[in-house]
Amino acid sequence: MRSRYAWMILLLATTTACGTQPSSQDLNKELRTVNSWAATAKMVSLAWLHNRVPEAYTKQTLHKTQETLHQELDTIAKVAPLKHRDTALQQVTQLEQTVQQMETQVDQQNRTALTQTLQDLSNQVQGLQPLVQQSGEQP
Amino acid sequence: MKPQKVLEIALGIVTSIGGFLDVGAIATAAEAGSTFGFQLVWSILLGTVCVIALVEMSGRLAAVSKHTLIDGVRERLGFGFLVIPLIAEIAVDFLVLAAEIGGVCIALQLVTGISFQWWALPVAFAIWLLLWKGNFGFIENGISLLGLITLAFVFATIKLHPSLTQLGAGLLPTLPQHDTAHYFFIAVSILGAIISPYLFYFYSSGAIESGWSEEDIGINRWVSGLGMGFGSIVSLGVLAVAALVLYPNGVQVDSYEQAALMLTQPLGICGFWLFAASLGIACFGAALEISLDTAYIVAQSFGWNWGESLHPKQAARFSAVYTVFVFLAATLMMIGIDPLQLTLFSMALTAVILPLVVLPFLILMNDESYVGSHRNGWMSNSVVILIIAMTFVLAIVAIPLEILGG
Repeated sequence: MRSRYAWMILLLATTTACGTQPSSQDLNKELRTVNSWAATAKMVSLAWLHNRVPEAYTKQTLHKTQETLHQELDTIAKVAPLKHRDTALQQVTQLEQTVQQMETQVDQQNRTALTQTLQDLSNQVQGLQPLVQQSGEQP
Repeated sequence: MKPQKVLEIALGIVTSIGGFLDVGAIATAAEAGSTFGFQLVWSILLGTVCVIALVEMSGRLAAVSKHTLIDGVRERLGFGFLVIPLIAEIAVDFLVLAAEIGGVCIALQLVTGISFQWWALPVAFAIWLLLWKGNFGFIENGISLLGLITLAFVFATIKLHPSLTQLGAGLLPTLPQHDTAHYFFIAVSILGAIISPYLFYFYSSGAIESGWSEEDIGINRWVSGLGMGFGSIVSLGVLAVAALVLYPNGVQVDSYEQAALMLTQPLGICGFWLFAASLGIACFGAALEISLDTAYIVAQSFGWNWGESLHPKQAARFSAVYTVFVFLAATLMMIGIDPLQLTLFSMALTAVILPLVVLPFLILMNDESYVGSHRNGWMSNSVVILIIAMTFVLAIVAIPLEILGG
């Protein structure tokens, strides 16, 4: 009976440890979420520039993207292995700021500036790809 | 065939197509297409074959025996057996109803920009008002006819010229290159969304409300087969558009805001409004059906008066059930639970309770005292046995997959 409890405690401890330990796999998962939301921001902004979506929806989606990226910062800080942590946090912070800028530009109806910022966003997303790949390759 | 019968069949098929999509079908198909391209087409087809078989049997049971599915289970297997699926179905209906209300609220948020939580109570009130004042024919036909707007997904698919090779390849189950647990979780959720238990209870209760008899077995066969079959094409449309528009852009659907972009590429600004309208109408129609379904199953289990065509005074407890249920479910949205996550969770939970719902089909559909000479043949029984086996597997894997890949 006592040994059964010991096993259960060991299992619980292992599960908890695995849940909180930084891992490349978890980082990769979070970075793919970041990628998906950055792609959303790009797609919705392009659609707005081509008058394919209403302004209220565009602002709402860009705002939600910012919120999600902000939450991702917290998650990445917890799950990213030390060697990738700073780079990942820096790049996601940069993306969050760019999306914030895009929301302001939509609010100000500044289409020219938004077109430029979209280019920055694309560059930042591309800059993130090596990290996504590295974290995906490592066990 | 008499012209009136042809008209009845046509109306039945059209309303089945219009009523096929709901929040679960939209969410799971959009997530599948955006994350795995065409790889999960097979799960929609598998679900459709199962749902056609089971809906046809529910209708046949009602038409021949004049018993709803719940009546049949209670009489033949006893209240002791019924109580377990009853509680499970009420719990799942509650979550799915909240998700459907959430779908309508999100549609209104897309259109107005006002946060979805603010819409929960007005939407619940509108659902309740229609149930209170409307009759079965209006709810079944009126809302489902409006649901034909969901054909926009099929139109968009045609406009996007999908590769038939890719579509065809999706018919065969294959393992994904990434996120295997998530892939199976979505597959289970798609099956849970299509093989919705509420459909069988609602369909058999509707057959009784419409006064079906043995003469209507033909109508039942056409409506369940063609209606559900064509309806699943709408679901495939959602998956295909997500696979053709969102997947190449790297957008994986984690929220309805992302899904709303899928029709804008092929249809422009109209696509945005059509998405919002499709989501709103499909979920509103499904919310009406689920509220009624819960009232049906509770009233039938306890032997109360029931019927949407009865005045609320004549079926007071029946009306009280849907009243309480609708407003309670709306509170989940009012407190701000994410509608998409709730939808995916409810769909997986639906898969868990499926064996309890499907098992009685094997007994009832072979009992001559209920279905007489219209009992299942060897083929129908083989299909039911295969579905039961599949639902047992789904029930076992649903929760672990929810944890690992949900």
